[in-house]
Amino acid sequence: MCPRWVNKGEGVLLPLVIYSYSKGGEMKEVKLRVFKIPTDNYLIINIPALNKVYKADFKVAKEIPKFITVQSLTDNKNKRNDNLSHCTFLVTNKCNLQCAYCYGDYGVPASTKVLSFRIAKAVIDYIVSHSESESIGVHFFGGEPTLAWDLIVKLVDYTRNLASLNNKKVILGITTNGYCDANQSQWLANLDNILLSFDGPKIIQDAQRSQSFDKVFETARLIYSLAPHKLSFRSTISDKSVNYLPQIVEFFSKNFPGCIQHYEPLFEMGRGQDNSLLHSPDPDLFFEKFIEAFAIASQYNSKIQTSVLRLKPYSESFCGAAGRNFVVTWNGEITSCVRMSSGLNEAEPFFHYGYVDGEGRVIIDNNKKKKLELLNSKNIQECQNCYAEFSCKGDCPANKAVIDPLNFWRNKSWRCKSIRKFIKRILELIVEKQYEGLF
Amino acid sequence: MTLNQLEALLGTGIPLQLQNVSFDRCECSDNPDGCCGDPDSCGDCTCALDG
Repeated sequence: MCPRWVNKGEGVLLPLVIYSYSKGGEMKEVKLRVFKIPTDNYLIINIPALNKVYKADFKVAKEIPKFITVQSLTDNKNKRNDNLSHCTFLVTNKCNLQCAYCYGDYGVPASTKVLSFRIAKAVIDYIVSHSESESIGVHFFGGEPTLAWDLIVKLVDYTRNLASLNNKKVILGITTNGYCDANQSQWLANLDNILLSFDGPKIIQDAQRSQSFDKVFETARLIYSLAPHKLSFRSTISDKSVNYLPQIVEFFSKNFPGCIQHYEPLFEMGRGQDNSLLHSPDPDLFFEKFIEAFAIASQYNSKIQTSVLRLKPYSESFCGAAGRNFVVTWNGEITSCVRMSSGLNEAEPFFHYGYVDGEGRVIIDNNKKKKLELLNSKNIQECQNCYAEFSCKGDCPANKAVIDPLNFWRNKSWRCKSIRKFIKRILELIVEKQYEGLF
Repeated sequence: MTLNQLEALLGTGIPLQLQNVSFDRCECSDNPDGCCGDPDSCGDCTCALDG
């Protein structure tokens, strides 16, 4: 795992847990926020910047102030001034499935578009020549990227050759629905990471993702047999499947041991706003079932994730939509969010900050890119005194932009109450498991 | 209150870890060395919220 850094303007405050990575810098006294979270029998003392919690009885907790001081290391390393070491290509809006909840309404034959090699090449050239990093990353996304097969094969060859000539390492990845043939699956296993959109057992996958189970399962099995460490799963949980989340975890754990499983509740946008079959699950129920699934994951030694659960103190924002992502659409537009690229959402222009012009020049609007830094929980009033902010970071800005296209950047999450309850329960579990001597 | 004083009162604390739950969504673009290539579902270079 790479070292990570927190950019704080003039200097960089490194979380205590990663002191060992630091080079240079000086010791400085800093104040850390202390949250006291009451449970039935004790208080959880949460100090997010320390990456740990404490257990306190109610009497002792009165002596603990809202801030504590620590000697912390500041690092004078300059903030990385670009996000140009990796990019995501939305290679096509074509899709061979028509999932009821698709955020982009993809898979509609009349409107298919494919990224041109000329634009993609221009972006790769730009990245290789501008990146200060030793490695570059290219990720393929869609629509369904395997439907632009010739293009992605050509781009992979081009990227590897160019990177090699420039002494850079390459990390190549794809997000796919896995609805492809065995030769393609075999080729995919040569990439560095493969994120498969897969909703679980046959009855759920077929109902939610266009009767695709048999073929997708075959793809997953083949990739897993060749490169198990490269494969991870991303499952959408609907109101119809939420009660089966533990069984979904068991399905992936049994069939693909060791692979990361990422779960997100369905959010109704794009085609998902109009369909009458599948809806968002109740947020409390989703989190309750996610926690229930811990026991299954533990039994199989699997790892499960969900986006608002990220107990790390150094995240600045929910995701790279806050100006860090470099996503190139099939039209050659540059945006920071894959979900804000379908043309269906009023707020999409906010996320777009550049384009590739007719002569293959990459044009970045730095003012717009800078404005994307607004997508930070520091700008959300209700997050300022919240013990869960360090984990949820205000939740997904794209989803919030669907709900309120004008004020989304300063709105708290629509599921804030449920997230707070969830994070509190997670912190409780950490404290309780520790005291049970299980860890 | 300093951290040392707090820990004298409450002990050394409990790391934010839970077995088999990953709290470590990759944030490649915060990393000055570029994409780490961590195959974990990634919050930045591969949106965890696709679908």
